[in-house]
Amino acid sequence: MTVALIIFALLMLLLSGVPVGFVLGGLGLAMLLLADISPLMVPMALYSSFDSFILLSVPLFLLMSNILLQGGVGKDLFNAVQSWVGHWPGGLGIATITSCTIFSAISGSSVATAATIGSVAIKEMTDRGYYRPFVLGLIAAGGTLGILIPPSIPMIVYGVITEESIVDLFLAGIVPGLIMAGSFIAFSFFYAIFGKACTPVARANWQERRTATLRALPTLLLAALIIGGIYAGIFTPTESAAIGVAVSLVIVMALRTLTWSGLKAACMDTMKTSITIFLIIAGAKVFGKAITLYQIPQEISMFVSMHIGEAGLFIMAVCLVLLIMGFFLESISMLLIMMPVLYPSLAPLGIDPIWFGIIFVIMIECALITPPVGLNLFVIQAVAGGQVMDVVRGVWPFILLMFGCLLLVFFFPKVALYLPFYM
Amino acid sequence: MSDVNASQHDKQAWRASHPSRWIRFNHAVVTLCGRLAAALFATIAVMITYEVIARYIFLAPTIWVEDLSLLCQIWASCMGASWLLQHQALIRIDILTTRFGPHMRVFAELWSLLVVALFSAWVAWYGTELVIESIAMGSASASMLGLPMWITKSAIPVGFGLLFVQCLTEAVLVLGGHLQAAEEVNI
Amino acid sequence: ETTLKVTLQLPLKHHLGQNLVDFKNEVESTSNGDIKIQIFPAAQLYKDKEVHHAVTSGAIEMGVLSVTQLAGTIPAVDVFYVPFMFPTYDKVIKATEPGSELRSLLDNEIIKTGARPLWWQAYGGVALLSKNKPIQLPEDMDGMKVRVFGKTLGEFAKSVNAAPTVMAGSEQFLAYQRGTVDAGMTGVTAVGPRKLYQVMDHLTLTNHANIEFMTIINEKVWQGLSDREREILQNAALKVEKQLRDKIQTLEADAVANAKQEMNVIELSADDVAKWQQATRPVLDSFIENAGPLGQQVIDAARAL
Ligand code: NA
Ligand code: NA
Repeated sequence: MTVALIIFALLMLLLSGVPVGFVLGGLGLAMLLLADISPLMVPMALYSSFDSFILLSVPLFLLMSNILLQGGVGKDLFNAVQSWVGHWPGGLGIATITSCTIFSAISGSSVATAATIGSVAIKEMTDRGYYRPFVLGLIAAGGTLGILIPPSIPMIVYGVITEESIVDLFLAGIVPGLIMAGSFIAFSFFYAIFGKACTPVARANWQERRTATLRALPTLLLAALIIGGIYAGIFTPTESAAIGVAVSLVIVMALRTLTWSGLKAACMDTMKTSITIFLIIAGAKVFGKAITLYQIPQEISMFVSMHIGEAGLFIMAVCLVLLIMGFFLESISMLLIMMPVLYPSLAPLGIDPIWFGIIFVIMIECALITPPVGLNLFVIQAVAGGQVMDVVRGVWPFILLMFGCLLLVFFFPKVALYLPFYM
Repeated sequence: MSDVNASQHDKQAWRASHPSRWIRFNHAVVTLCGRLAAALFATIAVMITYEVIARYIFLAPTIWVEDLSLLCQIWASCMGASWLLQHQALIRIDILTTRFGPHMRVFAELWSLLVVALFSAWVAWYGTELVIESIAMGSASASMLGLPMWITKSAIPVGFGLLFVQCLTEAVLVLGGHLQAAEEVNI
Repeated sequence: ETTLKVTLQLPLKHHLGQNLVDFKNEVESTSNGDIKIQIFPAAQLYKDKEVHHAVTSGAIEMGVLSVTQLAGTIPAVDVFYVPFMFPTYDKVIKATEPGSELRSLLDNEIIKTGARPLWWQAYGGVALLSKNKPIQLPEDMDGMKVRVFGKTLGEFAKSVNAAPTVMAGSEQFLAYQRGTVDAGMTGVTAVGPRKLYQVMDHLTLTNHANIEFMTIINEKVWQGLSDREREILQNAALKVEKQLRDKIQTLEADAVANAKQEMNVIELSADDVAKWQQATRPVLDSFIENAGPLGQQVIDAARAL
């Protein structure tokens, strides 16, 4: 009964347009007051959410990709990849996904990835007769690789909530991310062969390839530095993000593409996105404490262990709930609302929390591109203009491919867990 | 990506040259807070880069980077909150509210401002109590640096106090018929 | 009927969690259910560094925290981290006995902050872990990067020319595995559960510091209880404190025996300890300087044991 009331209040507040962070915080506060629990808990929870060393990596990863975005690195990257594969069937599609994959190794955000690559690739592809919904869907989906291939802001947040190792989560995302990218590439290839007509790009000569690759080389090295540095233990994820900011500044200064006003815009945008995320995290912390004091996660975990004895069934149920939530909610909120409730059930069912994290992130990727609320859909629409429906029409094959990857990770956990635990 | 498109730019300029002295003053303060918050985040990047250099090149990890970068993060988050509200950049679900007619829109906007205002007033008030207690107890962090707690904890009442004031300002503007379009946020 | 909520940052199955469960059972049975203890384990509500403030402000009635978390407010509590102050288990027992001079000094100071220590919880001694190079004498640590927790242990590392890095317990494994640090300090009983033997080669049983936890209760809540309730809580506290203090020796001995099968375990002779004490002398001086008159008093009390 209490649970039903809480869910109802949560939905009403969300739908009435109250900012998500304050829906969670306000509802948590009301619950604490009703249960006659000290109100001091609320400012303490807010303070404790901002007082987190791991979360420092969120603004740093954002700052790095904003600096690269302002420095026009996306264009260099896309040109370089295109000079190698552009003449293949579906070559521009392949170049788009490859660029998304490389940029994902730098950026922790899927929206930033979609925007960076989308701002270059959409025009190139539609100019050459690619079917417009396919192009938009491809970039919307390719952008979601940004959170599966490390670094990843949702994984950082997942690690903060569950106290699991961020490094293990990052490593676990690499192989599923590459498989998903591979399936998108294969789809573009077959789509071009069997599907709508699209003119391939002329084959680039070696001189052109050399010039384009050299220009994109610093970005490739940056991606290698970040992933390699974390993997080799040279620095923590937070430190790798700071080093990434410094190196990306050096890159865009060497390319002479960053203006002073561009740098200021990068900083302001970083501030805006980071604080938006932090306020949701803070609100969710208040809400999380309130439901803990109401013993709700404990009761749910008890219910699960009594009625759902099997890990597979549990994960299927969770995925279904996440799919439905994902129609309406944005990624970080989904994570923050659900994880405090789900986490206590993992251990009794023998579910590896790192593996579960990867499954969760794939569900978040779906949420980013499912209508009616999908941030990547909106971003592509903002970059390309036109109707959201165009993007939606093109995106559904990619959702199916994502489910394919989900099943793969589900049936073969080693796909995710090999790198962190068996290497 | 910088998505300050023309109409929002005007919205800020409109505030900057508003006939009411309070709106102009408020705009100046909030803009300053936003810029300071952005600068604090940039400072964090500098400090943590320095920490890595100190560890690998000078072979001497610092004791102040962790404490001071958290100090920056806490203050930045609190100071930037009112900037976000002023720029309509807080994440919300608008599938329903965008379908509302003009009167319902105003009503929904006032309702959200009310929730935010109540919450931030609460946090500012009891946050002050926490700061007073920290000062009275002379408590400091148990880390190597031992920074006094009130220096970081006071960010909560200051930031959420500013946010409360911002809610009132925005409510007055909404009642005056100036409903602002939401700004885009990238996650 | 009274309900007391307790926040604990460790899971219930940890020996500190078990100790708390013992307390809950004892209190609930002797009070015939009139006093209810509600445990929130695994830092569901508060992280270690937030517990003290949460209890003093009344945000929660009770909490378990590591004593060193108070060092920012009461520097004298770090007496347990002054190197080699309590080299034998016997001394630890005497120092932490309910009613001992050292403990009364600290308890009274903690009560002034608005939280009353109900009982102290033994966690065991601190040992050194190292990867390639065994550590026997202070000079072995020269130039090493060392994981520490807390300020005084950091001073200790500095006094032997090592570079301290403060790191959470959960980050240790990766930092050791990937060589981010060369050595580390950790509680002896944590070596097994955290699987540190998989990534480190040597374990030096220095016992240079002693980790204590305590369960505190908000002072206003305490004063608001009836005499009978206070008596029930106090008796239960005494009982479970002794249980854990007795148990910890066995736990430590088991931990060392297990470690011996996996890694090179180094023990220190009395001569070695004297050399360490000599080398880490500056830490003692800076502790006394930092902790003021109370610091001097607790050091005197510790020496008198
Ligand atoms: Na990424
Ligand atoms: Na969606």
